[in-house]
Amino acid sequence: MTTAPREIDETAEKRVAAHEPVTGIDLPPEASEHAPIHHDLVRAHTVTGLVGLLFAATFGLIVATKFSAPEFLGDTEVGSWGRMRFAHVQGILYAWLMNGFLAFAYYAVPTLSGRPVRSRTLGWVIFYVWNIGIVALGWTFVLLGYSQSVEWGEFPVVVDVVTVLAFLAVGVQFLHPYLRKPRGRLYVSSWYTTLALTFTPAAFVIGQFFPEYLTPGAMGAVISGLWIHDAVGLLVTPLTLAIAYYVIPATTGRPIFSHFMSMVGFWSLVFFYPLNGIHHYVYSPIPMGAQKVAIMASVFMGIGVVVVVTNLLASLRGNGYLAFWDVPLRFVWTGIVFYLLVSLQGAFQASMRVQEQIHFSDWVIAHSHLAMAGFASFIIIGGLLHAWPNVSGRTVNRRVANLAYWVATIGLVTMVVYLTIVGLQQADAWTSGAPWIESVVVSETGWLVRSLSGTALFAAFVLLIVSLYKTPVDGPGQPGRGVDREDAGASR
Amino acid sequence: MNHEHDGPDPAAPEVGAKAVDPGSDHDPRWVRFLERGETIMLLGGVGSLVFSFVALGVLPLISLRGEVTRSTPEEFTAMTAQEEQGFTVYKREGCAYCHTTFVRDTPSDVRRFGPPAEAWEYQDQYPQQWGTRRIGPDLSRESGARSDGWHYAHLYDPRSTVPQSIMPGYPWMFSEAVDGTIVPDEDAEALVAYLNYLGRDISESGPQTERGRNAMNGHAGTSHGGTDEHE
Repeated sequence: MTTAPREIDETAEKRVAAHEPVTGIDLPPEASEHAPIHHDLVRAHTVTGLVGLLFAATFGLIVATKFSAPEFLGDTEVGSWGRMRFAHVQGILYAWLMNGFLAFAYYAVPTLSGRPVRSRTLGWVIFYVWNIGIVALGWTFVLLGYSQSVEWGEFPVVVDVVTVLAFLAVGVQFLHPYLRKPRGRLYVSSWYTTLALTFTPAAFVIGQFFPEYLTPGAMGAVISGLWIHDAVGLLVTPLTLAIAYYVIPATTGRPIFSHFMSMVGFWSLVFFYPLNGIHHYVYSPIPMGAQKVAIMASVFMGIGVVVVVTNLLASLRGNGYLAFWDVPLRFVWTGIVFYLLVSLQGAFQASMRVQEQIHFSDWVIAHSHLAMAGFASFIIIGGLLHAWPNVSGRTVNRRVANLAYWVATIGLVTMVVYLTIVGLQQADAWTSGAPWIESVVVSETGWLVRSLSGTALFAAFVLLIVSLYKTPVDGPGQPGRGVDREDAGASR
Repeated sequence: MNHEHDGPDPAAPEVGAKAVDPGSDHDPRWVRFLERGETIMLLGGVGSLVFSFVALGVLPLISLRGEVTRSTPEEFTAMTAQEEQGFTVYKREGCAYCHTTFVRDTPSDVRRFGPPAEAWEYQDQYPQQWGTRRIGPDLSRESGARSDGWHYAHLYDPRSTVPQSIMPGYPWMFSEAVDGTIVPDEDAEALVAYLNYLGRDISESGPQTERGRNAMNGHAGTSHGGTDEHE
């Protein structure tokens, strides 16, 4: 079933050699006329997402600082640890990741489907509802003490209602062009987007409302476990992979390595990832059969990830050097490597004997940061930088973006390494039977390094915003750059 | 090496589904079927949600409901209004993000904290607060472990009772009386009432499930609420 490697795309090679833009594979011109990209929506979600990331990262830095200086900002309710933690986690999901996904969807979906998204007006309604009705309102509520203490669902119930409606609107916006696509066959990025936008609204409703109103205690933990991994596995992961599967062929000018591996990876995610969640509550009163199914699904999930990563990296065959020059591609490439690492780590951590020792420790926090800051954020950043010149009429400042890449990579790797070490130290202190406070004392150095590495990540995010503001490119020799596709289409 | 123009040229035609997609019209019918948006929505989105929700949602729920009905001891009491208020404070301040409230049936957990968690103990907790991280110790066997005074001092200034603690203080839940002493407000009293409720029923009734009794037999004589472990 694997597609035989094609002829090397000499055009792309020559363009790279001449430092010219590497255009992706070509779409029939008449299709792009019918499928305008709403550049303003891409820009709005990109910039809002990155600014939201600065806020969410600030909350995270405050949380981290309190591990070393517990009195820091501790005199008032608003600045207390728990509320900052809520704001950090929800901010990363709704203010950063989702804005990034929406930006890239507005960029990629019209091209991939050959159809426009449902409506530009709906786009702006979603933009404001998302960023005011969910992000700003949610942050305000949790900081004032109105929250819902469900992991990955800390915004209060009233915000959940807005979120459900917003997810449905997002579904209408982006599923519409896919369902209207001629012949109905979709590219792999579109599979992942379609999956995420269909699965998530219902999973969100179950995850937010069942533990709150219908299923108490142990039964609620069953549902919460499912939601924790549905949010990561059926929302964040597929939308991230959709970006990776787009940026690589668009940069190299060559198709994905294997159609068959794309399918295996996709359908293994579909069937194994939703079963993972209960591995958060191993050795709990939840029936042992359910715990074991969740652990086995986690291991199978790891195997599926190896297929996806192989397929993505093999797609660079002969063009791997592009990742050295092309900063967006390098962000994506690194995110894919993080994806492999974090998935193998997750499959390992899910097994029972390992959990017995290290569950509840900072090694799990290392895992979550490798997933969200490493895998998801790196690939989203790559996607946004890739799209930026085409939607803004400004090039990305390569020097600054390159610096951001290195600061972010070094910061994140340091964070993950230290949290792993600290997690193992904590596990050791717990099993040794020493007084509890020993596990806190041994963590002090690691927690300090975590704050410093988090500061590096924050600096990288600032650099990324700076890198977007290179001078406009509409000088001679580059006709058309900076022209809004929509306007160009209208005047044609 | 100045390679500024990383992205595709917007003037030129862009990435297209047709060319980017290595699949062709000669693909078998099932491949073409799997690539349809409708298939992915129904089989992928709806199908896997229903499958996972039934397999790892509904089935465990039915099993747990049966176990709760079977194993709830006579000693079980629902939370009082004050304990309920304390539970609300516990949720609001994110206590569960540092303290778990379930003891696993592993040797080191049972040795340190006491009887492993049983499903019936949590039947009136909406939403559950088991937690996934232990920065501080588990609290589910806290009932009777220490005095109210200790808890108030600890909540007001954690370093006053455990010098190396990194727990946040909650001074705003206290006020200063006319004679200068610090007195707990309603929220602090409720929170301490809730802490004293955690594990009270199982300490009176003992484990009600075979799993709990086995775990205790494996570590007989070592489990008494872990009173000396937290300091």
